[in-house]
Amino acid sequence: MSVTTKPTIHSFTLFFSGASALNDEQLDSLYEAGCDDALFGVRDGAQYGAFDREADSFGGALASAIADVTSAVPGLQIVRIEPDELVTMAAIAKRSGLSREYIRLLFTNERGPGGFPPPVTYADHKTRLWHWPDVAHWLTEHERGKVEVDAHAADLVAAMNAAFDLREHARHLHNGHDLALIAQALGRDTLTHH
Amino acid sequence: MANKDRHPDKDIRKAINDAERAGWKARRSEGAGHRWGTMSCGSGCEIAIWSTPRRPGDIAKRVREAVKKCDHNAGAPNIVKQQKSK
Repeated sequence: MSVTTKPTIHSFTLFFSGASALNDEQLDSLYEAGCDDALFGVRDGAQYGAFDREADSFGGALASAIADVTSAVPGLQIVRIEPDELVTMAAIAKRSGLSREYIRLLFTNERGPGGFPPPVTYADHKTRLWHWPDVAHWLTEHERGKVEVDAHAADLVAAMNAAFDLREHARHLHNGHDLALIAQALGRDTLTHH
Repeated sequence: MANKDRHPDKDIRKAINDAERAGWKARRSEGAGHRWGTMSCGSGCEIAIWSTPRRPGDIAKRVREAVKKCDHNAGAPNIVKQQKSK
């Protein structure tokens, strides 16, 4: 993978709640904050900004977009980032640029070194869902040269979405016992030790 | 749509036309804001389109994506859904 720092366009969608972004005043603030590279909308009741942002890295693009929307619209809270971490086989094919059939062969050990990550859950009895960072790391290691997969971006988005989920659930967990249980389950110093 | 209400960018205009054929309605914004107008599918999906986005081609692509992801107009003749957008 190249180590160029030439700015490229990074595409992602921020979902948010807490304030409406779609009235004239808020949209003008968003535009003036630099979000003229995003389409703001509502889908299935969820507000979003779909960004195509130029930056040196995916993380840099994400950071500047989040800074722009949260500074432009007081009370707005980011709740989710897409493309997110749960992927179907078709999505793995699309994100990696490999064919769906080739992904299937990797999964069933008919091609490749074996050990393709197992799905983490099922959307229904026949739709497997994988955790994208698992797959991104595996493809980066075993299909080097064939795929342009950003495993770091995959980890970043999955970790941020997990943090948004934790913030949401923690609001409903009022007693210290629940939170202590979470900390215990995570293991001490999980986030600081490497 | 009347001439003064046309979006200034050709790519975006095309995306708006395709969205309208998929059953979406465009509503031109009044006043002097940065928003050209909004489009909605009539069943909950809505998008705001800038008059002068940074890269109009990207916004046109995002308009198409919003229409493609909306399944509220399944009965409408939806040419956008049939196009290969990649």
